[in-house]
Amino acid sequence: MKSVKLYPKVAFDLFYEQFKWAIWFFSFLIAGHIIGMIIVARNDTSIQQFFVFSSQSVAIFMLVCGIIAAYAFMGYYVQHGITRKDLYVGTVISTLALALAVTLVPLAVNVIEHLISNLAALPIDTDAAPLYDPASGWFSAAGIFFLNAFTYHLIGWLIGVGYYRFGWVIGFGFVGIAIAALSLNGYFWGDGGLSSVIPWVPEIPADASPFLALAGSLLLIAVLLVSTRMLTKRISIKM
Amino acid sequence: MAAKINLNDVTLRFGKFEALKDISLTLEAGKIHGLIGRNGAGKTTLLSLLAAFREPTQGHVEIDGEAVFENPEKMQQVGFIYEKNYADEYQKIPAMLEFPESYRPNYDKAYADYLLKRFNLPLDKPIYKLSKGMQSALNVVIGLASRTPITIFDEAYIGMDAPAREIFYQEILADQAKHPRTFILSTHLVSEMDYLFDNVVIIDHGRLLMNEDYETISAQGASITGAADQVDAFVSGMKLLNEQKLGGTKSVMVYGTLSEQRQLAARQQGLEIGPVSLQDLFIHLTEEAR
Repeated sequence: MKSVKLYPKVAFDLFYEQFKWAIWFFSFLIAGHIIGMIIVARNDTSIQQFFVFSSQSVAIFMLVCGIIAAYAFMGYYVQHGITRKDLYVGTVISTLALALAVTLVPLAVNVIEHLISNLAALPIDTDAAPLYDPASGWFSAAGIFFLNAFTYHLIGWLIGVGYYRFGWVIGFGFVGIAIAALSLNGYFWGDGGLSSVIPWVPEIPADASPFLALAGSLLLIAVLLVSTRMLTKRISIKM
Repeated sequence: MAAKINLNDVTLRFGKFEALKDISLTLEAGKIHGLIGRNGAGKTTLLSLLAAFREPTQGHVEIDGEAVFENPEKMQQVGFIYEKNYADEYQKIPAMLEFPESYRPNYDKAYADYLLKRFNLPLDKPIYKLSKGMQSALNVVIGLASRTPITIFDEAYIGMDAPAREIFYQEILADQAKHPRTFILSTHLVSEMDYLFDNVVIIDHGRLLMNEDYETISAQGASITGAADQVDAFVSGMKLLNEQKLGGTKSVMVYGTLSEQRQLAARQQGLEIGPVSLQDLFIHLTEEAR
């Protein structure tokens, strides 16, 4: 029996599974946005455009997906003869694809909302929060959104793996690490993250130093990727 | 299409607790191996090493001469079926079976459909709603239909009623005749399953007590049946494993091989000689080791 590289298949299946969750998630989020528009229209105010509106929720969605990924897939895949390595590589690829998908969906919804607002007035606030300011270029706004989604999933995955491997006492320590990582991520992108936890750390807004933010963010991603691989490389499967 | 398993000096420790102690054994390809041991003997732990669920603390676990842990080719050859918690499994059976179908190269869908019918499994109910026995039968279907060169059933019959267990045993034998593979069946229902085994591995307290083919093991003792007083006279001085009496007739299980002379003498006295039951031998051996 010749062995075939299984990680592309694993990546596709993991993406497909989580994308199904994402469709549910976006259905609710879009419904929420529509309800929000109706409410603010009555009060004569406006609501953030969908791309900005969804950014926080998408990040949390990715975090939860990451946590679930560790528990839902590890035992199942290894039981069916997939190596931890194939599962790891497959997970990373699927997470990249998922992060891309959850960036493109809000963008598309945003475009549709803008097209509609050309025809009929929608109570949408086009002044965005500084973090995802589409005014400074859609490409960079989408890029930041994508990196953020990817990072949140990796952080969730790290928490899940920590709990899976060490149980809830030490697993709780991983929540601490995750909060630090989330704050660091927020710090790079000027979300007030770290500075809200540790007061004397200065805030670096992304537009002030995009290079520093990008470098720091990529470094954080690299550290997360290496840690998760080290923790799962020889992990024992629970039965 | 079957694979040979080798364990060399395998020890597994959880902290200070030694779950497996220095186990070396070979399981021949294409045979049905019975793995028996009392509760907590280390059966599942041993099997989880074969399935690459964990690594041994010391020693090597190999399939056809190659280490199994994180070996993509070897891991794909092992199917490990054990009792799973399906309390959160909202999928239905057909959706559940898509996964082994997609990842197991030898998976046989027609055979799976046939087995689902034989076990009378409902395809339109979510799995968490199925009875324990049905969930076990589903595990059995996955294990059989995946046709992995090494198929491990770790007490896979839990919750299954007697007719369902009987189907399980029949199907193992039927498929083994058509598509030979290496089966490992762990059990403590020894008397019910012993006829399935080509080879028997007994472990106790994490140690290997015995790894012999079935005939060799049955020759390690004998059952002697006949008139009660004659049987008593014949077996005096031998190690008795079990005795049963019905009216004037008595049947005794003894431990130790009977020489041909002794067998002849027994027959001349009108005594019937049969093989020892694996169950009695198992009970005796694991009690002795305690």
